[in-house]
Amino acid sequence: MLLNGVQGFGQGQLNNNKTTNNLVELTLNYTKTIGKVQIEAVGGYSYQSFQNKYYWATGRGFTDFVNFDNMQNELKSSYDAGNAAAVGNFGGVINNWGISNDIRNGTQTSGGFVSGFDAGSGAFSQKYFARPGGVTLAAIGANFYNNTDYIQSYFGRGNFTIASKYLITATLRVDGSSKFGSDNRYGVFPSGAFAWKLHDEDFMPEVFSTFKFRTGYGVVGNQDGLGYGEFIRRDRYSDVSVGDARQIGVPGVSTQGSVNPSLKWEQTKQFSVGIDFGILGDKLSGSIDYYVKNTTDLLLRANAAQPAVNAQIFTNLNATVENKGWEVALTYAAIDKPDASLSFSGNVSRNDNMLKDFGGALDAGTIRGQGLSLAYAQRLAGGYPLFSYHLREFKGFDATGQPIGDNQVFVGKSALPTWNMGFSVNARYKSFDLAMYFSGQFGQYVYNNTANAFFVAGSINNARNVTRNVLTAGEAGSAEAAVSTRFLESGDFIRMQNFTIGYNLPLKDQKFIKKLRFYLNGQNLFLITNYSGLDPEVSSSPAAFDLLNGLPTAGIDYSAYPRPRTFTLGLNLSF
Amino acid sequence: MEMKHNIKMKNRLIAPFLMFVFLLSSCSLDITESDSIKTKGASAVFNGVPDPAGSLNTIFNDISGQAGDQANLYALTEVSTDELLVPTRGTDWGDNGIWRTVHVHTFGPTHNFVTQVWNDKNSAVLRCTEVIDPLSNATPAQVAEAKFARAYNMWIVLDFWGQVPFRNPKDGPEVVPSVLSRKDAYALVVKDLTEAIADLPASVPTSSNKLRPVKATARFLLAKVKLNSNVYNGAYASSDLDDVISLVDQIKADGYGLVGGNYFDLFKGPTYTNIDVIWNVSAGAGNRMWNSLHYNQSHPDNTGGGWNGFSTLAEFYNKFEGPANTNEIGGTQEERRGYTHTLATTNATNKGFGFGFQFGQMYGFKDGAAVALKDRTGKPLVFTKEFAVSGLIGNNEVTGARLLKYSPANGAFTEGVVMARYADAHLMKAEALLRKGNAAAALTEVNALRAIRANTSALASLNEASMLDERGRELYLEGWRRNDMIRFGVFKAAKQFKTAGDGHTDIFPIPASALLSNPGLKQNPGY
Repeated sequence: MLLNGVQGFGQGQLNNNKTTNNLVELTLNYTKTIGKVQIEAVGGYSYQSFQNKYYWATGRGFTDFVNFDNMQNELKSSYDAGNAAAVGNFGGVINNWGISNDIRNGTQTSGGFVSGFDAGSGAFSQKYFARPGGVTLAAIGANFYNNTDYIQSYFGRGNFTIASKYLITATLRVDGSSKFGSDNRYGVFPSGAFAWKLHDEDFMPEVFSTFKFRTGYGVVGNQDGLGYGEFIRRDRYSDVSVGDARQIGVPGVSTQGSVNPSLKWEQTKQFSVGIDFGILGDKLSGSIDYYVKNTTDLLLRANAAQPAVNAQIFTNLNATVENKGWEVALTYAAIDKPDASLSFSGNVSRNDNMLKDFGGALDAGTIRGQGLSLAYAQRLAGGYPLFSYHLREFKGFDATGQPIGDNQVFVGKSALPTWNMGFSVNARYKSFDLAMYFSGQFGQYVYNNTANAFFVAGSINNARNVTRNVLTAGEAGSAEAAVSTRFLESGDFIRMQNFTIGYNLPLKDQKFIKKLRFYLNGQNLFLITNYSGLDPEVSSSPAAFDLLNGLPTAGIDYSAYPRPRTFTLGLNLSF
Repeated sequence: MEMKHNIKMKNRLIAPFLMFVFLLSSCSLDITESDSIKTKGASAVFNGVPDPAGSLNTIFNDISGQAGDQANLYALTEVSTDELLVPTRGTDWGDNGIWRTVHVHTFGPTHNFVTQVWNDKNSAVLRCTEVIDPLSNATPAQVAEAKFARAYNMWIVLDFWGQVPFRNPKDGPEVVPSVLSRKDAYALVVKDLTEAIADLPASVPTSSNKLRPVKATARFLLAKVKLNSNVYNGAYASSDLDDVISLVDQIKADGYGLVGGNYFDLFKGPTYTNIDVIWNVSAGAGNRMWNSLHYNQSHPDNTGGGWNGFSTLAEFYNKFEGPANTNEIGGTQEERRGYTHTLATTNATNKGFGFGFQFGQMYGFKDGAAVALKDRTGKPLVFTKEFAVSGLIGNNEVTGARLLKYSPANGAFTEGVVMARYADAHLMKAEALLRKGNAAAALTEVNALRAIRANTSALASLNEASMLDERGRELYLEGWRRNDMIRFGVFKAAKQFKTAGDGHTDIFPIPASALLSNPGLKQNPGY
């Protein structure tokens, strides 16, 4: 895409990120057997720091804006010269600097400025300086960030084995994070599990070689998505950028973060119950599990009650996301001999997702493409699963080729799969081995944003290529391709995920080479699906300014890269 | 870089280990001031802004940025009226109906522009209140600028929504902002402006820097607010209309006045030394021009051409004097209707870009010669005044006349957008006279303005309808149309592609997200 003021001048951006993590961890292990009780305990403490130091600089008005290498060098040399001048002219912490022949709102109308504060007194100031010789770009501005977050954790775990039959595990974590205010900085996350090896009991039939009952309950905390210092009021100079006319506005001081001392850890409470079993010496083995998982206090960037210093504030959403379901896994060892083996494994799981106790409605699922600005396909609302589609019900085209239906509603479909399955075969015969794995997902729907943006009659009307079916769909070239169920498709698929065939070269006992194996591996060999796009298993990352601000997206396929088909011919050598 | 120590100890080491853990537990979880300064003082929430001058820079930069955007504030004030329509052209400008709903007044509480302007303007009010707060130790001049900015932003909130949430800067996030009624907010705006006038710098009508308010800027806004008092308070207070007249007279006494000569030169930035312009922002006028021009109308500094969206309505064009079916340069049309170029008048300077209403064949200047432009399908680029049958959807790329107050003839991305003009003040005075029952004096004022606009005949009489039309002709695309039409009671009326409404759209819906966060707000009637 061409941006205003780029043609004939060039625009470049330089990003530099430096991430430093430190971890101090101390653990203490304790083991003891008292009568029939075996105790294993671990206690520990850890302290971590995460420093993220970065800057980004944008420049416009290049001497040579045709050759990318030259542009890169010019951006870098202009940045270095500009930064040296800014540092030379400012003693404190620098938030940003800018150099242009067109400086706006300042006491000086060209040259450079640097903004920042004195770390000791906290006083903000700006200084002006003459354009340094080495800055050959018409205009360049740079912004500097330096954030460090900390996590401090205390944890303990006790494993108790009683009479080799009853297993009890109890853990407790206390995690503190600098991303939260002092009121709720620490989260306490206990968990407990109990297992009973029933196959050791006399009353179990002999046919069960393994039979184990498990149940557990636990709480885990989450602080993902939360940025640095969101709970506290901080001030710094607003970012500078270079405008269409290579101008730079002298920035003012603006407020970061919103005071919210009660911000706290997002919590997920999970209850699970299940059995592991094996029959006939574990020739047939498997497990069955049922779980209920409730996530509360979801961390979400929500609209603040206006007037607010910042339009959005990180809050704990007053709602619950419930996931519940079950999983069944089975493995059958059909052959298990010294020079041959064959086993089959399969698993099936069902998950039901629901957002509960939420009174609002938030649009989500940003749709992209020309004529689709600000369009959305999903809505977050109580009583519906996450990533529920909220679309116009497409009812075909009218006699003049215009789409029928212009009212967005919940269509009862979600981007989350309800069924997951996997199936694998492992075989070995003498020196040969073979492994294959299929996976499948069912019940989820994919919004084909690519088709919505490109494969419509309006697109060919604007002299762009389209797929053949567009020509006969009955759509007028003047029709708007609004977001609708027309582009919503089932995303069910089965994928041949992995296939490996290997050959171990028989080696005589000798010291030098211990093992020599050749193998051929193929990944993503084929896909069975009715989805018309390239791959129904889409994962696109949220972009800046997307709806719901950085929350993960699901099910929106906008020219996403399909999974690659990979072939590997390999050789393993062990000495 | 990662250090990891796994220390295994025997029982007898437990006590020293626990002591070590205890010592370590004093490790701080407080963030350091490595790139920003935490607020300091008695309150965790607010102890004054650290740099009032810097905060004011941000406040005025934001007003400028919001004025330069073709969406949001501009769309709500112009596309909602009879001046502009953003038709959906095939798939282009569909944008989930966001432009269509503004024109036909079917916007709802989740309309993105409504939410965005609500957030922008309310947030600005709070940031102004922070500068005004004694804890910020701002100078009287800074406080006066902040009061002007608060009045401007709060006036938009009260004008758009009729309810104004208000937050004390020291209130924490758990405090739900109180809600001012339209009357109370009006009183606060009038008070802020009155106080601002006292401490703002004296007016310099020929200044090349009109980015910050002077006394005349605050008087202009106060006159504007008082002229709308009947909308906000149900009826004019006894002195309101006299106050409008007196404020305009004071602006004139400062040296501002009507400026004749080339009408479109009044809008030629980046600086505005003419005595007509009272206030301008530094935002570029690029979006205002390229949002409407065709993809193939390009400029050496914008070779990608326009975005082919915003168009004007034939019924608005018909309010101007001149031939019905041509607006070519050199015709008898009134000056403010502008002109389109011909092949003969297109040259390297104007590059084929005219001013005002653009329809008929469009011309460009390519490879040193004037050429008749073509659309993307290769047919002559001839804009039509009329749209597809429904107007809103199913348009091709040439329907709709385009309207240019700022033109690429002056540069592809000229800087500076005019926010307040004396000509507006002059017409406000005329309107106040008319509303006081003095139609003859009002007519004299209106004709004084018309007399300096070429090819514009004097009006024989003046009533409310012709007063509103005159404001439209002089002030189109300057952000006043919605406000004017509501004051004259015709915003709800039928217009091209919109049927008559019940008037509930005179006030926008409270955004859904705002209702969710503040139970004190009540949804406006009709939504």
